[in-house]
Amino acid sequence: MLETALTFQKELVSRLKEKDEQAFATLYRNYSNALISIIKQVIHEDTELAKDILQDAMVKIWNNIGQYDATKGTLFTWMMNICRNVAIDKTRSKDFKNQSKNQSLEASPESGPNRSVSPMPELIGVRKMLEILEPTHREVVDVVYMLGYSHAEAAEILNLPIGTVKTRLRNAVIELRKRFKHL
Amino acid sequence: MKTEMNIQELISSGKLELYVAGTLSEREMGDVAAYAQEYPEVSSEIEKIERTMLDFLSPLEFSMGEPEKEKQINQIFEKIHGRDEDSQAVVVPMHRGGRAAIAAAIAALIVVAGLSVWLGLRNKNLNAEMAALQKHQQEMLAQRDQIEDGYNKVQQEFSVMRNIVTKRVQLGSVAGNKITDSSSYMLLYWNPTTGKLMLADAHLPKVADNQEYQLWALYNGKPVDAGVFDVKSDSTGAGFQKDISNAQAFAVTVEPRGGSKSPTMSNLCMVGKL
Repeated sequence: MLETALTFQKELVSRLKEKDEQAFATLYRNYSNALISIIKQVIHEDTELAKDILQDAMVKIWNNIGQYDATKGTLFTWMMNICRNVAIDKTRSKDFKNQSKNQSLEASPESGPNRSVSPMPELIGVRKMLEILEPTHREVVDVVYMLGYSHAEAAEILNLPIGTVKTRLRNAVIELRKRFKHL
Repeated sequence: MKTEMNIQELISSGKLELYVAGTLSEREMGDVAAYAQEYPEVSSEIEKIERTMLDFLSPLEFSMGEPEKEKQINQIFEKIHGRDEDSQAVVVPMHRGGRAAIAAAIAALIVVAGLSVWLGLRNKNLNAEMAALQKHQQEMLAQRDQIEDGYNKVQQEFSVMRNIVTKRVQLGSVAGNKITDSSSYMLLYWNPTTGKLMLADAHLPKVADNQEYQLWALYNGKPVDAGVFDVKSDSTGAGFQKDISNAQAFAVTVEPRGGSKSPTMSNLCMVGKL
């Protein structure tokens, strides 16, 4: 069954490169909800805005699919990076800043390098999922998977050796895999 | 370039989890991708990690249902196709005007065209320069990551070795075994307080491709798995094994690749007491 899943991924990529709209719709159905979490982590805003940003990111993915290189990483990783970049650009835009001014001061989002590691209410669902992990595991998943820091940066932020970051991330994902039954 | 890195070791290293997050250095990303192409065990592990990540990133609280997804997909295609239409030339009906006006318009057009060609060329040069700089920067960052990784490893090893409670354990060949002989030797460092166990040196004969060496900690007569290792020709790099909290002796057996739950006593080849 796994074999078919893997061939399916390869086939999906080659169909996308041929600009197959059906394949593109499948891609959206499979990955959109996870990508929205990634975008929300950057913009600290509601889901509706995240959906709009995902639309722009998907247009970019469609236009640039020819540049995706399977020898450098997975399709999901590549899409995740595009979403993060589009979302970061959005937080720097004039529109976004004006919009944020209309909110109360406490709710104003941080932007730029001060991405915070603190829990945010908009992502409560993801947080609940992560609560099944012990705190030391949770913070590693947060910094690497949610915020997209490199392992060297994560080690610095969490004040841990790189080896420990890797081990904890591995153990955390194993815990989550048991939970979601992807063993 | 590591050509025969142990696949199990790669799977349990935590690197694949970082690969799915896309946060390894460019070179390491490429290495893992190459392993994934070659070894189905690696690609299926990556697939499972990715699915787990997709699951925990898609909580019910704000997940879109199927109808909402279809609506979004339609809007995205509108944006994609809309963009194509925008780029088509728009035909504006020409107003009647004097010859002078037309001449002025043509002159202006020529100036604008010239200017845009010049700007276009300049822009192209700058883009190329920027791409080259970006590429250079990425390479430097990847190199820095590699050096930092190596440095951290050495530092961790060194901190175990210089610790006063760390024990230095030499292992010698077990008399009468068929795998090693009196020329074989091994060196371990073990810190009983932290449990860190480091394999510093191993001069052992090569084993069959489907086999590898497995290290055991012995405590009150019971063996505890301390991890597997490979020996390439006659030497091995230093590396950490599994943490071991109690040990009176260490022993090595040859086991099927991936290791066994308990040691195959007939393959016992190296022993060292504390």
